[in-house]
Amino acid sequence: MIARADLAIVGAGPAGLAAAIAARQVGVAAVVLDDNEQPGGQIYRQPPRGFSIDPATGIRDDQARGRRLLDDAARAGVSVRNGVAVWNAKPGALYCCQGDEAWTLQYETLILATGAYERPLPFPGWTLPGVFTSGGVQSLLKAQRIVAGKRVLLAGTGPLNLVVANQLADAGAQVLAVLELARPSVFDLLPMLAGRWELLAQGIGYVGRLAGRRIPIMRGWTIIEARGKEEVQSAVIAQVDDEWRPIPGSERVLEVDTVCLGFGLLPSTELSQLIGSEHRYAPELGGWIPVCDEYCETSMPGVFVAGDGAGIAGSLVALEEGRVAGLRAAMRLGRIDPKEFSAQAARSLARLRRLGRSRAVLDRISRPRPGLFERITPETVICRCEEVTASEVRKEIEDGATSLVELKARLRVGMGLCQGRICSSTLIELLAQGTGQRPEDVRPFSQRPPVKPIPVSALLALEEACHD
Amino acid sequence: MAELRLVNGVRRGKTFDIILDGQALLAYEGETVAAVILASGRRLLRLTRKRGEPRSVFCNIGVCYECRMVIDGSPNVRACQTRASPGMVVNTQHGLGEDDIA
Ligand SMILES: Cc1cc2nc3c(=O)[nH]c(=O)nc-3n(C[C@H](O)[C@H](O)[C@H](O)COP(=O)(O)OP(=O)(O)OC[C@H]3O[C@@H](n4cnc5c(N)ncnc54)[C@H](O)[C@@H]3O)c2cc1C
Repeated sequence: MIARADLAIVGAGPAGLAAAIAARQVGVAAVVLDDNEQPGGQIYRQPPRGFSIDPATGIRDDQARGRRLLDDAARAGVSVRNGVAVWNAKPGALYCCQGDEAWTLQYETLILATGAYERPLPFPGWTLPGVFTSGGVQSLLKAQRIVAGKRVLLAGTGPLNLVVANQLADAGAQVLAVLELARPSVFDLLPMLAGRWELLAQGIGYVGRLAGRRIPIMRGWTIIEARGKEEVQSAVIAQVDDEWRPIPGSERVLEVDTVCLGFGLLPSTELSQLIGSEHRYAPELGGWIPVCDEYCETSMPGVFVAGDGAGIAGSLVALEEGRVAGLRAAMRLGRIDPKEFSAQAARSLARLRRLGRSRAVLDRISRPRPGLFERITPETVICRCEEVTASEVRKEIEDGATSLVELKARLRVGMGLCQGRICSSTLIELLAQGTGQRPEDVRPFSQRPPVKPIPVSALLALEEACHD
Repeated sequence: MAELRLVNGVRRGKTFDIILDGQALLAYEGETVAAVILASGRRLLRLTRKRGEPRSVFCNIGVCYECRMVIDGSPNVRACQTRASPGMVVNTQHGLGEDDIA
């Protein structure tokens, strides 16, 4: 089956929804696709059918903001198709599936608003049950009202951990500590950023509340090992130096049943890579990101990127970029002229310039430093899907492997179901360290469809797609 | 550990059972398979192929594939992205799951 759209948008988080609303307001009806069952993306995720969550639970703010955005979308006449996975992208066509149904969507213009996922950083024991990402624990709590555990340790960097720590404490979990790498703290710079960065602003409030609850924020500490048999039973923590290298002799052991890891986010760039747009290496924005101009247009005319998928920048930036991209797409479609574009987009563009400045400060502080990789022991699993350890990777590098492609051929890393999302950023770092290359000179895995799991019917369509 | 499923501040819908490794397990409408299992206090979802190591939910947003289980006869289904439904048959996955399909 073939469908057509003037404007296709992948992702119904803040960026994708804002884009669809802006486009609709100037007369362009977009087709919005999202593989989640509920619209809203990560931050504005709505509770599932059958649930109603009391506004007093402290998670209401995000859901309420999300609700407002969804209401705006409904009022503007935007409709979102949920539960649709886009598994391949080419110039002019998206390949979609939902359940057993597969189809092609031909588009004139495209906005990729695919968001981000949490940065995986290996250390011994990180595969044990009970070790989660902080965002994962948060989404369990937010959307399902389930607490992941009882004695919880959070480790990483940035404001998300502070938010999650409080939400867990509200839910009755015993939060032992939040280990924050940055020192001097991110939080000392807050007055400057207040109100500009939603999550950070929330974070400030939460620092106070954590203190009130006597939950320590241990700055300059991190987790170096998770121990346990069937699941995590204790965590070894250590102080780190300025490069975030664990300091020998500073270790302590905490009894825990749950560990939350929040080390920042990585952009989801599978589709922007598949489609063939240019990418650049920007470690402060999460690694390889699509190149785009100030109107969010990639190196391919008519193809736009907005939100965290264009480089990690938070929900406020996502909203404004979405709006700019939506209007710019309308201009490319000839629905508005450049003058009207400038008039309509002016406020968002000004906000983005302002947000960009505060962002730069945070980016500098929370950029991952090389010491974090020193937690990796020879036995540490790097590729979770294929169970490949650091010693296996290092041996291949010593034997002459210089690229991800060679590692993949020799060790099957990146060939599992996660398609390298979990291991590739670490492998790039290990290759850089082992060969003396700069991380940006290590070529990333080339993307291959399908980027999402698909049924057999879609596979047949894939074969056809590969032959034309 | 029944209290992992919070009761304050939320109203849940209908309840039903899923069948986890042959045993009935209480679920609420709207919950994911991963949520149902974690709420029961159990974490193990699968054992890995090479080393037989236990794995559970890691990212909970569908990216990492650590939570794959055998659901209604299909292996490698992500428990964190699958809504529980009445009578759903869920099994711990061993390795790639070929031997788990009854
Ligand atoms: C787990 C997690 C928790 C977070 N919690 C917070 C928080 O509490 N507070 C905060 O301020 N920020 C939080 N963030 C950051 C926040 O989510 C982002 O800043 C913001 O949501 C970015 O919006 P977006 O529109 O760019 O992407 P998202 O909101 O991530 O939306 C992207 C959407 O695209 C969909 N998608 C991606 N690829 C495809 C595809 N191939 N086919 C179909 N659909 C696709 C995704 O399913 C998703 O729904 C969190 C991030 C994560 C990953």
